[in-house]
Amino acid sequence: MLEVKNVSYKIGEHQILDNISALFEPGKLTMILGPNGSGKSTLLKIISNEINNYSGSVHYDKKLLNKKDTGSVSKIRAVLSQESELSFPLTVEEVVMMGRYPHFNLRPSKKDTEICHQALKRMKMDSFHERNYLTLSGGEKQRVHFARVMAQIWEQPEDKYRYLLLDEPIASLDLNYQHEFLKIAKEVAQQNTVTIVVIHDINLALQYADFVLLINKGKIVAMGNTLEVITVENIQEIYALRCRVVQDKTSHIPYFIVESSI
Amino acid sequence: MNTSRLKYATLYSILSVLLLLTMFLAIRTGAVHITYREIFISLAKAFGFHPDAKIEPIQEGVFMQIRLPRVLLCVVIGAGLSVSGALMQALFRNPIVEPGLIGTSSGAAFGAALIFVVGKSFFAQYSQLLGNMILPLSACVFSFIATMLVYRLSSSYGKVTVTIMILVGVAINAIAVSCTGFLSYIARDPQARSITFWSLGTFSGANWNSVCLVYAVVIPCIFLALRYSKALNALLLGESEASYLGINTEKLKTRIIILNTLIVAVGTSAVGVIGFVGLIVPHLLRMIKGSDNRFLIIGSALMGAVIMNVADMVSRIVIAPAELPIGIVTSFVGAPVFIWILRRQKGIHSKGGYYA
Repeated sequence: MLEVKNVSYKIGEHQILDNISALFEPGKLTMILGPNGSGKSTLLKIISNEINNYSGSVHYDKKLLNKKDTGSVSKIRAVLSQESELSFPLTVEEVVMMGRYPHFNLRPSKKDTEICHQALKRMKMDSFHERNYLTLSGGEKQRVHFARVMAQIWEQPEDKYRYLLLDEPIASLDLNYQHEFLKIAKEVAQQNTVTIVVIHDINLALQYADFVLLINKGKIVAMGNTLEVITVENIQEIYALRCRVVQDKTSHIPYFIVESSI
Repeated sequence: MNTSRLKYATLYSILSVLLLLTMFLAIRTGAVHITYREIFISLAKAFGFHPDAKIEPIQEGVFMQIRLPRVLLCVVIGAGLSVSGALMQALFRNPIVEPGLIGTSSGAAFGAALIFVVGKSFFAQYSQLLGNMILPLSACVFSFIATMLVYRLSSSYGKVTVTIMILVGVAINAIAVSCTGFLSYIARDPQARSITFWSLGTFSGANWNSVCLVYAVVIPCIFLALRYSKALNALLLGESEASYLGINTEKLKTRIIILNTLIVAVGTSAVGVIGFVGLIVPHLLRMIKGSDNRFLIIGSALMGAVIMNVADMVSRIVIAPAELPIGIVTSFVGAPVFIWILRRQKGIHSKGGYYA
């Protein structure tokens, strides 16, 4: 369970986040949506401890997040950024093994290697072990990093939940892997993991999210079950777009169609 | 890497054999010819075996007092500079960084020149031993200041922009070099001459004192660096990614800069400024077998020692019986290789990459 209490964050006079409180539960795929500059990535950075000069508090498993401690939480919490700047020749396996770094001291154990292989397999990258990371396409690189963060929290800790934070993870992926990615994220969520995804695509959110946080100008506009939050009124209000919803006859998932800007 | 099927262990063995080979060659090379037999007998005598074995005193003297310390110093400084190159490249997440480019060496040079010129009058009352310590200490302080300045000035929001880093490096180097130049201008003749020699690098002054000091500092630093290889690997992903993997990046950066400064400053205070070795060696290794920093650190130590041995032999042979400052040799060969690397990398990573 992950709780954010009264979190505010300012850069200079500019209020980025204004008194945000939210509760994220394991078992549900949570998505954070909002326009550019709404503060959703900043919220994720606060949760993941990258920004630590905020006011308010973040609690993991009801324990206050120590703003300076990065060691202990890294075994149960993995974060995937939009883009990684890795520009050195490493094999795919070496990159995925970095996800196991919090779990071993000097040399990886057999188990660590095994987990790396399974994580790669899960991302359908079995044949990529020995490939040079630099020769991969953008989407392949992103899948390698997803395998890396999966390897980081592969095992279910006995008395704790796991946490998976994904910041716009699917921007560089093709249609097939966008869905593959979110399916895996959903599976992970269902295995007792607090999973939070920052995403732009309303229709993907409607299809996969269980819980949605809608943010605009640093404030929570709506929060709750997907269908209750992603409504025509809310979307029109925060994006200043006129849109309508069609219902798919077989899956009954609503689909947003944008008509014009207001 | 798929570029090489060689195992790490095989590579280390090859490099170790090469190292021994070049050490023996370097010991034998020179005006006085020394045979393998003489080498072994001198060594045995030095360790207390066969105290009355027959050997020409000239050969023994040249071996024990000139060649052996020189080769040992070559080995440790080659290893140290290359490891420091590997560390800096990991820290700046950029493979074209080396101590000479980011102020570390020129800062150390200035620190040492300061002692050459004004030190004698300030510290005259202290003993010789303290005098021996003050030179490396001053080199350390100034190279640390220079490196930190470059790092701080070229990073904003935790990201180092390479273009800015190179420019800041040029500026800080220019300041250090002009200060050193000023010192050699106001210096009296012998001091100025030693500064000049020293800024080109030379192993001709090698003696057991310097060997002991440099080994005592550099070897522990290399082993310490090895402990950080995992964290440095994670740092390649970027600072936030590394911290998600539980690494305290601020602490790591400071420690790596301190280790690096110690290695370079102590080395530089012993033999002067030697460029490009720290740049080329890790890069060659990376082309052979990837960027795992554990491999890079061990490999750089071995390969750097080999290359420094070869460079020193060249510097002794080219214009024998005189000898060329080794810094001239390494720059003369290293700079073209550096250009070649730049050209080659540009082709591979036209988008972003190191040069973004």
